[in-house]
Amino acid sequence: MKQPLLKVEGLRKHFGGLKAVDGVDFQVDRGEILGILGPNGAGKTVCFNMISGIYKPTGGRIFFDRARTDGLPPFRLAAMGLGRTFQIVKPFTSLTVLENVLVARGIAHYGRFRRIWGPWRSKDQVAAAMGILEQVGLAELAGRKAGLLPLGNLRRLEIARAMVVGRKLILLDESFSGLRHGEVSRLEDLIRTIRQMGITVLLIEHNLRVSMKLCDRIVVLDHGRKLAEGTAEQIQSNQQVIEAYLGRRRRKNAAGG
Amino acid sequence: MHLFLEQLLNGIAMGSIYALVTLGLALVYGILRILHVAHAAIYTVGAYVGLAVFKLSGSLLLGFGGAMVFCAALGVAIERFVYYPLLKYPPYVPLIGSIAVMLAIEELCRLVAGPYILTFPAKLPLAAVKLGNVTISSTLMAVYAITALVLAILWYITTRTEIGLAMRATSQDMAIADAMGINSHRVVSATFVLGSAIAAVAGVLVGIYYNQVYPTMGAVPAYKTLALIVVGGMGSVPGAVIASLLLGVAETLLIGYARIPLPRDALAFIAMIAVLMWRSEGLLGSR
Repeated sequence: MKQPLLKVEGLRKHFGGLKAVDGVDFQVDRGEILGILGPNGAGKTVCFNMISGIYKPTGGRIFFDRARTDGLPPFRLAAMGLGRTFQIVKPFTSLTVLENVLVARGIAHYGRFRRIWGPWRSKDQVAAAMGILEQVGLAELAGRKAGLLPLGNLRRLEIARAMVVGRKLILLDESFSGLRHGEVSRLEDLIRTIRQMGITVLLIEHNLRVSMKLCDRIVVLDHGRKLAEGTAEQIQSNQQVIEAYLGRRRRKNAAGG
Repeated sequence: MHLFLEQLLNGIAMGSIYALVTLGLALVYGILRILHVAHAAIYTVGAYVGLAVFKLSGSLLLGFGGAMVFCAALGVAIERFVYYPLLKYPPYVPLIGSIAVMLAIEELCRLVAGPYILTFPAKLPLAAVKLGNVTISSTLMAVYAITALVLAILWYITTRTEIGLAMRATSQDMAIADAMGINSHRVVSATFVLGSAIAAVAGVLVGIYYNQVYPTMGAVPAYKTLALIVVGGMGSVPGAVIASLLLGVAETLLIGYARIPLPRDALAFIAMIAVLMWRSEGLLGSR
């Protein structure tokens, strides 16, 4: 029997009168890739921000790895093994690519007063960080200042940091947006590799083709509510989804081949 | 030549003390983007606490230690109760708060210790050094040695330890640092502990150096250090240290040795204006 790694129940977030997320339930099983789909303003990123601790939910409950986590601060969730990327890439621009990953490697020490005085550039740490950079394909750029990297590489750097922090779950917030075609397929491969490492992936995606291909299951949000949930085929044939979101686009895709 | 060397040595000592105060300001600006004017008041409190502990215990080491602990706590209290709640407002709001805290602390010192100039009758336990015909007094030696020690420890912490890396990450982007598992608020507090403890050291040193402790002794450093972090490059600790040393030397050499008819305290601002005109990012700042 599959066990949920992450479960949200009746999740709500209101900003004044705006109901950004209004009663969403879903769960992510261990080892799966779950996609969250929806038009702009559907509440996808707000959901992410609640799951990763940046926002406190107005209501509802979040369970991560069997513990209740709604309202916990982000650094606590990170320490529990939840890593994330951001829609707008935010590297530590004045640190090098390697140092960016080493900041994430520090996660094993930040909670313990005595260990934070240790050196961060030790051989093991650097070797482990280089291993991650190797996996995401940034090893040659390790010494480069992160602020000088182009967007595609920055997305990889963010994923590298998220892989270090997210021992159990990685949240990817539109990691494909703005990427060229070749970069998209390389990133798809990387995400599959991450899953093979035993890490569960929850991703927000705009690009329908990518998410249909990559995700085991898809949750569709619209106006802060869950519209549908299921496999790619189920979503594609769901009448409500077609009307609300896919309708025009599906016809266009079909026409375009 | 003799007088020149002596003034140069005094200048380096002056500059060292400026550096100890200014680097706290640079640390805080680097991490919170706040002008921590009340830092100079922490330095005043450091001098008073150091003097009080010294008088009670007779031990200068305890005086330094007591001042550092007290000021670290005071710095964290200011951060928690004044700056942190004001962070969501535009930067002039915490600045006003900071000025208010500075005035309040100054008045408190006046109320508690009286509006007098107290003497600080301590001898620093270091031997005077003779270099040719120039003597470096034990006080100067102590200022050099203590500054060098503090800078070395600070350099080690910020560049070599995990907490230093966390501080650099936090000063770049608190939200991302949090997502990397760093309790960024605690890192901010740690920054205040460091900066304030160092300001306490500076306060005690100045008290001994001039043999004076008085409530408004932080007033001149308060605005001089503001000019210095602009010259050094906002938020750059090495820049702040270099700017401070240069200013200390320039003040004693230009005013004391070359006898340029300018008020001593004007130099910092002339330097600031020059920097703003020709190199607005400061000596070591980034644009």
